[in-house]
Amino acid sequence: MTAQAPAEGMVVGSNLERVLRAGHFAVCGEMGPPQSCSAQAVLNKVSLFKGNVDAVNLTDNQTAIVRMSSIAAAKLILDEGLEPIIQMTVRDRNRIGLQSDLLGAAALGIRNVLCLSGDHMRFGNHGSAKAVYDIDSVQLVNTVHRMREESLLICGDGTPPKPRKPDAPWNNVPTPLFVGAASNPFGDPLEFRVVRLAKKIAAGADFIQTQAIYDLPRFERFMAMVRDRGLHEKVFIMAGVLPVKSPRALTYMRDDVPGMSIPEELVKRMEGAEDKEEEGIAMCVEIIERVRAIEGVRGVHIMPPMWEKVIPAIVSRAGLLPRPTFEGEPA
Amino acid sequence: MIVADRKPLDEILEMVGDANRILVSACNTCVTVCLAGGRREAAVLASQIRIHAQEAGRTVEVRENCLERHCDAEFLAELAGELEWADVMVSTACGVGVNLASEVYPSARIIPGLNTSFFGATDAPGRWLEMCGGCGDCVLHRTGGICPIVRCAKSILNGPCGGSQDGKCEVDPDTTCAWQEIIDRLALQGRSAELEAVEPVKDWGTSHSGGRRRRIVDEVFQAEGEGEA
Amino acid sequence: MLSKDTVAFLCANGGQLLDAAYPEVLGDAVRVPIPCASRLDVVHVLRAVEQGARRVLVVACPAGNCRSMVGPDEAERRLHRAAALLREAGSHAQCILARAAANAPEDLRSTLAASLEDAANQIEEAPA
Repeated sequence: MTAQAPAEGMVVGSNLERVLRAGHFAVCGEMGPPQSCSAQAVLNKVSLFKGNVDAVNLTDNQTAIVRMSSIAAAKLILDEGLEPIIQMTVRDRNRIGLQSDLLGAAALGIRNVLCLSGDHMRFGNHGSAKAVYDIDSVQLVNTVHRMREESLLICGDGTPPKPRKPDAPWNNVPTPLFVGAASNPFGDPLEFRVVRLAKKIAAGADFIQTQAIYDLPRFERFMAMVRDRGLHEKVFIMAGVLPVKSPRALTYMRDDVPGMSIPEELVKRMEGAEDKEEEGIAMCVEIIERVRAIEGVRGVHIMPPMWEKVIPAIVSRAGLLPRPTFEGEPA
Repeated sequence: MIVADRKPLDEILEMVGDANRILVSACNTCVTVCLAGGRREAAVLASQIRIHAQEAGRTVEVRENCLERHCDAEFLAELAGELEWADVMVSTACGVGVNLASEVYPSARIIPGLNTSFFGATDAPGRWLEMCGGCGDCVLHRTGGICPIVRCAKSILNGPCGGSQDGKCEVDPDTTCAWQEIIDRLALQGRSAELEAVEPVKDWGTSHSGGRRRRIVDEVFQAEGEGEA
Repeated sequence: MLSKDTVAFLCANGGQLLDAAYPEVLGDAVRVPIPCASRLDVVHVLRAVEQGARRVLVVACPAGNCRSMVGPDEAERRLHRAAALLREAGSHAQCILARAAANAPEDLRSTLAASLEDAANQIEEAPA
């Protein structure tokens, strides 16, 4: 389907923003950059996402394991015609590094960023690293928002196009980034999860991607609280889904991944399935259908850990194809 | 108080090397309370060093003493004679004591017997918990007296992160989530609404980021010709 | 039979009475009277080893029989700690906690016999 992109309210004009503002149910997919400098490893995955998702999340040293920079990987897929969302955690860079990388990412043509706390380095392959955590994820959301809306850095300095003479007037250049934040409806305390979401919106979040959803009743309670505060009208909420191909993956997340809620019946269902991959796809498609029916859910974010090749099947079977395209170049 | 842990004996012995006259100097303040470097712990360390030497067929002389404090130069005066005698001094004071003693006795070999860990309080007999990060810009009035800087693994000012579950921190299931505690504390005080505001970025310039810090009380301090101002 | 390289810490309410009635059990061990097993300090054990002891014995009361309620438990914790500190210092001195009432020399004998056998086995297992 080809549609005219709605101009109203458009802040950046990224493909993701256009899809969301046009009222389509958006689809994002997650790609983990390689643990090497292999550009080919990134490029090999491009075809799995192309035409199947509106934007691709590039993780930022996920689980605190050193990987290719999300910005570098984003540039690689951008050149292949995919739209990237760089994930950016506050774990490894202070405000100087973060803002510098935001400017650099925008300069490369990257238009979306997802602001995160990041998995603690205790979980990764450099457990003895010094933590940075200069600012937190809510403050990072606000930093990006301010760089875009006011062309101002945290310190209050502007972002001029070229070095300026003292006291000379200049026009700052805004940093065009569509700002995302994460929300975990399964973290505790539940009530405060909605408050924290509201804080991220107040800080300037344009879109939200949630933690992987398996516990639908709890997610429905969360969304009801979100609607009670009218938050679903202030931000585009995309529900996270994570397809698995073994019961062990589910029990691992239940037992070892912080902030996850996995209903026992799903584990049993997976254990009983003959074709585990097929069951994993079916389960994920069902969850997508269920979350799509919840008022206020504006899209889905598919996170297949090291199983990106499942994306075409999931998107197709969930009836999410074809993805919308727009006339003309992005704004 | 300052909380510390004793270093493993092997590490201390390696630092001591082949010194024959060893002074173990304890501190009667914080590290006595946290059972890391007081008179008793120094006696244990001295005894271990002697036993180790015996097992290795060496003779060493180990003396022990305990100063009221290692963080005030006037108390360190007591060390003068002992340091004349000793080849090396193992300090079981905190890092402050090791710094100051080394400054007062610049030619003495003074080595740390402890790893100085944190500012904390006794939580139960035999257990101490970190309470303050000494960041130089206190926010405790806004967080119900619970320090997010050191009690949250990510020093989040707008917490909790997504990893808080059942009131526990994602980094360590034995650690309480500071933000769960902050939320509960402010709720108890009827102040939950305060947590809706976005806490702005912190000025870390008052913390360690700014290098060595100092405090001066003008009406007391009399600058001398030399020394760090 | 125990020789002078064993230092025995004896509680006033149990071990000392037992030793008075059955002195042959502890043989030539060096006796150190303490008011209660709970008064044992880690440093006492280390000092004993420093002064040549190859074996440190604490004779405490059986569980539930302590006049100070927790004496034997406290002694056990400290003896464990002392044993760890001794190992850290490279000492192979043996730490033994015996729980025996004043009128039960057999309990002390059997604990000692078992401990001495353990120690003998350890020596046999140790590489030459």
